Amino acid sequence: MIQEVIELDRALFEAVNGLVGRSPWLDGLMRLLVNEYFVPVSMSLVLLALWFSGANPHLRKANQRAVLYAILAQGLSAAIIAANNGLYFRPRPFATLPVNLLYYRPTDSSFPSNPAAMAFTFALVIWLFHRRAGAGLLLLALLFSFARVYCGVHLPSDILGGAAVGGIAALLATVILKGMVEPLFRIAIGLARSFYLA
Amino acid sequence: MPIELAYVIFVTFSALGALQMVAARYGLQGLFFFPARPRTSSLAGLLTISVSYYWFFSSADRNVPGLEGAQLTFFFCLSCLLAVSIALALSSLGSRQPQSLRPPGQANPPGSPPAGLEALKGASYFQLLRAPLRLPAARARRLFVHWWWISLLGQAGPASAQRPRKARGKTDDPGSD
Repeated sequence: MIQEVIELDRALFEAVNGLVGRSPWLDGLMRLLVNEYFVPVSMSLVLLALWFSGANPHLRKANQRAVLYAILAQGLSAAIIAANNGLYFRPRPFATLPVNLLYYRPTDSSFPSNPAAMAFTFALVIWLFHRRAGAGLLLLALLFSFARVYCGVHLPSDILGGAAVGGIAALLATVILKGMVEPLFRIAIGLARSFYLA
Repeated sequence: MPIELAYVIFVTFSALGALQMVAARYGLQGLFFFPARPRTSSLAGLLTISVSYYWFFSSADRNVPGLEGAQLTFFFCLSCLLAVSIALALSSLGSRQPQSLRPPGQANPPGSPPAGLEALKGASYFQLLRAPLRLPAARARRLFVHWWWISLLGQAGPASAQRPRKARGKTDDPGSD
């Protein structure tokens, strides 16, 4: 069973990574999306815009709570990844398979995908509070994840692991830690309001 | 150019653009560069984002080892703070007349602006920061004027007491009858 899953994972990787070189514009688009700047900055800008958006103070406060929960979940996600990397190391696909590499060779563990965890954490938390913005961020997270496989730096199972970490972090932040952090968020928003920033 | 500086410039300008667009969408005039023209602010925001993305990704190959996760977070937060400060400062400098910013029916009495971002719909950031300072200053001025009048009357008080009283017919003096 495990062997079948590994085979499926490898076959999926080869199918996606095998697309490299067939279309110059797709290669260009994936090279634009794969790095640590394009998608993470775009997602963070959506969060910044969300902080200031809202037709009335009530809606704006709800958006600001969503942003604070997303930041908290991001911290939790980073902690889970760091803890996992201390216990388990999986080599990158370019170290074990023939790969069409469109990116540099990262040295950290391949599983779970850190960029996918970051992207899915943001997307899932925001989706819980703001469906439209969350759907946009989910689309960006999917594109980012696809680009990571396309460019040869992650296996599809790494992406699934990253998405799972994102889901766990989102759940931890918005459900399990909610009672603990809600008063702190209220204080933070109140403080920012007194300086006309929330 | 070092990647740190390029990243800060890229994020600062992108964040400025995003702020202009969201301020135009929700009428936060205290964040506009062009207070009288929300449409222009929105277009300027879109243009700023596009240009900063184009510049950052075309100026060098970004698919090489660069900033780490913690550095990215730090520089992103720094750039966002910079962008918000620039937007608030430029918007405040661009709107010298408070009433021109206020939508009809939403003018607030001095010293009591609505709390939070909602206040930026009617005034610039510097005006809002000055408002709470203006009220105590006005109170202090009023108190000083009161004290000045009281001391003036106090000086006039003993002089009037020394003046001879005018006879008004009947007096309370028991020996006068």
